[in-house]
This record gives sequence, structure tokens and C-alpha cells, in this order.
Amino acid sequence: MRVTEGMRYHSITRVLTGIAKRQAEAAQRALTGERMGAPSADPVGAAQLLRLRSSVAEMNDYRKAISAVRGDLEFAESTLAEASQLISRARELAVQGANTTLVSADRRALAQEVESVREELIRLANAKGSRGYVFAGTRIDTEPFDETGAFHGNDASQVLEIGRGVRVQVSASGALAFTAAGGQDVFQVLESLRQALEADDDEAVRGTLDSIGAAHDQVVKERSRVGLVVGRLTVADTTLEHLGKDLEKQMSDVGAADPFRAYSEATALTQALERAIAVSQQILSLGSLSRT
Amino acid sequence: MAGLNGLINTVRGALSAHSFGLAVTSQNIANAATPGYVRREALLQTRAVGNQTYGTVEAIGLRRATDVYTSRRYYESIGLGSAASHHYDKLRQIEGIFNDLQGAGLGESLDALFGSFSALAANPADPVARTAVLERAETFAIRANDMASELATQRDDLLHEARETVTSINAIAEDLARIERQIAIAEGGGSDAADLMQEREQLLRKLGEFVDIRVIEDGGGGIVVQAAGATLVEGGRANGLGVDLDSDGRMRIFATPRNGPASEVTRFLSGGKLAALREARDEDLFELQSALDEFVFDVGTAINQQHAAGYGLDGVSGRNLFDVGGTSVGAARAIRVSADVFERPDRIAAAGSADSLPGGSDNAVALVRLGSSPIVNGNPPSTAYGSIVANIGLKVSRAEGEVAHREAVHSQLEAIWQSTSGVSLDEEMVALSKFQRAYEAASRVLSTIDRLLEDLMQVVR
Repeated sequence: MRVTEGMRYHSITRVLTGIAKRQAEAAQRALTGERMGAPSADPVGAAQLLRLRSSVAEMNDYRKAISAVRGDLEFAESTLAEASQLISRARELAVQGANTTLVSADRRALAQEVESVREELIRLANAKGSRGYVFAGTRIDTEPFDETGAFHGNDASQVLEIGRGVRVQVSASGALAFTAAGGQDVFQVLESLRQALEADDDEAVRGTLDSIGAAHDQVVKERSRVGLVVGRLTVADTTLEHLGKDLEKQMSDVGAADPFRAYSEATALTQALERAIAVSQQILSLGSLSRT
Repeated sequence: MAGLNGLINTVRGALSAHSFGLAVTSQNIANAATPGYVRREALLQTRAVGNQTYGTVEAIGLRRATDVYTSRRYYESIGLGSAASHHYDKLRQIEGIFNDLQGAGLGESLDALFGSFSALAANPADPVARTAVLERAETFAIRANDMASELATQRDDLLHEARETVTSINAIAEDLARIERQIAIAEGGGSDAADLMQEREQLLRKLGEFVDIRVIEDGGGGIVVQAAGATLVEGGRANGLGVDLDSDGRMRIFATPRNGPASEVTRFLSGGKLAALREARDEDLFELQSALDEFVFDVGTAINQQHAAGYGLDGVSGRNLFDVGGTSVGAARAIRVSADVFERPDRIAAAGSADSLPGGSDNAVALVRLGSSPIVNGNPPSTAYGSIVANIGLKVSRAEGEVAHREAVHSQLEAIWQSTSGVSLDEEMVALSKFQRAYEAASRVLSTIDRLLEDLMQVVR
């Protein structure tokens, strides 16, 4: 086979171009720390990376949603705790009022205190959180209880997804806590107590004790339900945080270059390129012309 | 036997033959770096005149060291190599449109839209959360529009480039036909036409980069050039190629003979830039455009259905979030935020029933759930979009592999071609010495004869 200058130039050009290309790619990887500049570098990895990125975004969305609703739920929980204390206070007043030794003036005084408990309770039930009235169901723009204690909210609930397919009710229910939907109309019960005290009827006062107890239990029950939801949100948030970290680690496994490998590859290829250039110079200096 | 005068004739032949040899060697050296230059050899032979032995030499011309089979494979390889590298370049440009790995792609904007649904579910009555949904929806639509119009621009550019390529092919065909006629005249006049053949060789190589060609010798010293299976140059006459579009907007390549009807040769196109442009435009881009359209259409339609099931703050349901049209064709380019909800955040349907307004979030949750539901061809949107991106990535990396393969094949053929036809400067240096020495020796003979004649003159005087 005849060896011509053209052949030498061609093969040198081809080899140098090839090494230079690989060297540039390796240097890029070492420089950016990213394994994939474009989908073609690893098509399957690129698809995986996009899926993972989307999942990470999804986890973050769930977490943001959780933190957006958690404040109001915690607020509802503590409000219900206060409400249950108020009802306990009303029960104490009822027990006092049922005492047959009391005179009517004492009962009227108790009736006044019951009234202020009731007003305070209505104030609590109309509590406003960051998103509107906390106990109005989904009618968050309407004050749920008027001064008579009549309910203008609904028993619908806001729902939220806090993980794929995990749906929770994220509103406290004013209907279940304070209205007949939960068993007792709390404000009506207190009104009956007040009327009985006002009427100086110790028998009637005693008759309200059971329903006051039931009203108390009903508020406590809703409070613990809300507490459970807050607990679930906390657990979900922690789980999501871990999942997000796992996913981010997977993302870096798929998308990031191993820094040591990237660096040593880049170095090795740089040296290879230098050697190839040196050998090329030798090959090009061959030939009868250079010796004359 | 020849006398001294005969000797002078012998030497004259030697001087002119060896200077011809030097001329050919210098042509080779001059063209050592000319691409496609075919090495020439001076053909010398002993001249016979009558029955007498004179022993002189004559240059009967030159030979171009070429091999028709190597050339044929070489042109084919040029065509396939050029197709591979143009195809790769075009795909790289298209890949740039799917720049999701750098962030800010269509997939990310869709994630952001689902994120805004999630924020809406957390705070259904909040005007900020509602406005965010509209903004994200708008961003998604704009991204889809941009990508679709970039893909469409690429298709237009590729068509334009294909038309230019065809114009170049036709111009080269005309040049080839002209040179064929010149060669015929030169050879008719007894010339070797080496320079013309060299020019023809270079034109054929250039042509081979544009379209797959086949070169057949017609037996009379001329050639027939076929491109994409149709005769392009024959008997010193050129035919042409033409491009138009079919009803689907795909390119059709025609052979347009000087005399006779045009015939479509699209499916015979197998190499050269023209084949690469056609494949990138009508196969790859077409496929990507349809996949993108289908993705946008499916996502838009699924979101619309769910959105229409919910209620706006005004208690009205049945509104779409997007306008996507009735079919997936052109959906990516056409998608807009629906006029029903445009700049009306209160009309975003977060609630699942009119009763649960304004704090109900059932429908917003259902919208969030679409993000992980199989709404695009049985896949969740992120998986479906990922496979579109993976597909273009695969195409590019396959094309890159093809380029490497073609380069390897071509470089082997280049070596074979060089081995037959390339200029070796070492050889030329040897040839240079050979002719130089021979010329010097012939000059010496001439001076010897001259001295002998001078001696003879002295004697005679």
C-alpha cells in the first residue's frame, strides 16, 4: 500500500479531532459538574431526570400546601381548646345554679355570667384565620354564627392532597363542634341554661347538665379530630421532606458527574491530546523533503 | 546505425521526454494538497521509427492513477457521510429547542401549573392563588406556542435549505455537462484532458455531498451521472431536480428531464445533504411536532374536563381553562388560556360544588391529581414529556453514532483512494531526481556529441 501525505494528514486530523472532541466533553463535565449537557448525552437518563425533577416539584408543592393550611388548623385547635374550657366553666356555673340553697338573685348573677360565657364562645366560634372564618365550613367569607348563635356556615370541608392519593379534610368543622349536626347546639344549650337560671328554676338548671356535658364532649371531639389532622400533616411533611431528599439524591446520581471521575477523565484526555499532538508532529516531520 | 546527427535526435527526444516527466512531477507536487487531485504519471516509451533502431524516447502522454470501483464507492461514501453529518447537525439544532435539562422547559412550566393548583387547594378563596393559576396556565401555553413555532421555523428553514441544495445540484449538473462536452472535444483533438477530468472529479465530489450519486462510464470516454436513481447528466446534457410539497406538507423531490415528464424520486433519495434535510424535516421534526401536539392536546383537554366540572367563585361551572381546539393537530401552536377565564381569577374552578363556595377545594385537588394521572397515552404528563425529550436525545445520539460510523468507513475509503490516486511527496522527490538525473545525463551526451563534432570540425579545417 502506498502511503501518501494526504493519508497522513487525513488520519492525523481525524484522530486529533476525535480526541479533542472527547477532551472538550470531559472538560465540560468537570467544569459544570453536570453529566448531561443535552438529552443526547444520555436519553434515558434525561427522561429519568425530568421525571425526578417533576416529582421533586410535586413533593415541594405538597409541602407548601401543608404549611399553608397548618397554621389555621393549629389556630382552630387552640380555639377549640379555649371553647371547651369555656363550656367547662358554664358547667361549673350550672352545678352552682342547681344548688337548692341559692336565692334567685344569685341565680340571676350566674345567668349573667353564663351569658358572657356564651358571648365569648360565639366570639371564639367566629374566629378568623389566615384564610377566613375557621369554623364556617367552606363558607369562609361569611361570619358563621350571629349573636343568637344561629349557624350560617356549612358542614362542607376543604380537602387537600398531601401525597399522591392521600386526601385529608383540612378545615375544622364549626358545624360538628357547635351545632346540632354534632349532637348538641352548644349555644342553644347555654341559652337554655341562662333561661333556667334567669327563671330561678333549679330543676330546669339541673336538667341542662347532661346536655352541657355532651356539648363539652362534642367540642373536645372536634378538637382532637383537628389535632389528629395536624399530626397527620406533620408526619406527611416529614415524610415528604425525606422523599424529596431521596429524589434529589437520585437526581444527582442521574444528572451529576462524579467530580473525581470527571476530573481524572478530563486530565487523562488532556494528556492524551498532548501526546497525540506530539506524535502528529513527528509523523508530519517524516518524508524526504524535511531531510533535504 | 545512426550517425552523430542521429545521436542528436536521440538526445533531443530524451531531453523533451524528461522535461515532460519533470513537468508532470511538478504538477503532482503543485497539487499535493489539492483535495481530490488524482496523481499523474508521465507515460514514456521508446520511439520506433521504421525498421531502424534509433533508441530514442518519447512522452506519449500521461496517465491519471484512478480506479473506477474505488471512485464509485468513494462517491457513495461521500453521500452517506454528508447525509449523516448534516442530519446530526440539524437534530442538534432541534434538540436545543427541548432545553429542559437547563430548566425553563415545557415540562417545568407544567409542573409549575400543577403546583399552582396545589396552592389553590390550600387556599381556594385567595385571589393571589387564583391569579397564580392563571399566570402559570398562561406560561404553559406560551412555552408550548414557542416550542411549536420554533419547530415550525426549523421546518421552514429546512425546506428553504433543501430548495437551495437542489439549486446547487442543478448548477453542478450544468457545469458537469459543460465539462463533459469540453472533454469530448479535447479527446477528439487528441489531448489527454487531464485538467478537465480533474475538474470533473472535483465537481462530482461536490455533487456527492448534496445528493447520492452513481457514476457510470458510457464506454465512449464520457460518464453518466445518476442522482437519487434519476439520470442527471448524460451525453454532455444535464437534467434537473425539483422540490415541492405534498398535501401533508412533506417534501417531494422530482427528477425533471429536459424531454419527458417529471417523476418523483423522493423514496430513492439515500444520501447527501438533501436526504438529510428531508429526513430531519419530514421524519424527525414531523414526529416531534405530532408528539408535542398530542402531549399539549391531551394535557389541555384533561385539565379542561376537570376544570369544567368545578365551580368558579360566581357559582358557574362548565368553563374551560384552555382553548386547545378539537383535535391534536397544531394544538401546541394554538393553545391559549380560554377567553372564559382570561384575566378572571374569580372564575378559576377550585370548588367541586356551588354549595362549597368559596372555601371548597375538591376540584383544585382533582386538578392537582391530574399531574400524576395517566392522561397522556396512558402515562402521567411528566413521563410522557420525558419520553418526548428522550426521543430527541436518542435521535441525536443515534445520528452521532451514524456520523462516527460513516467517518470510519470514509476514512478507510480515503486511505484506499489515497493509496491509488493520492500524491506521495516521497515518490515525487524520487521521480524528480530520476528525471533530473536523466535530463543531466542527456545533456552530457549532447555536450559529448558537441565536442566530437567540434573535434571533427578541427580535423576538417
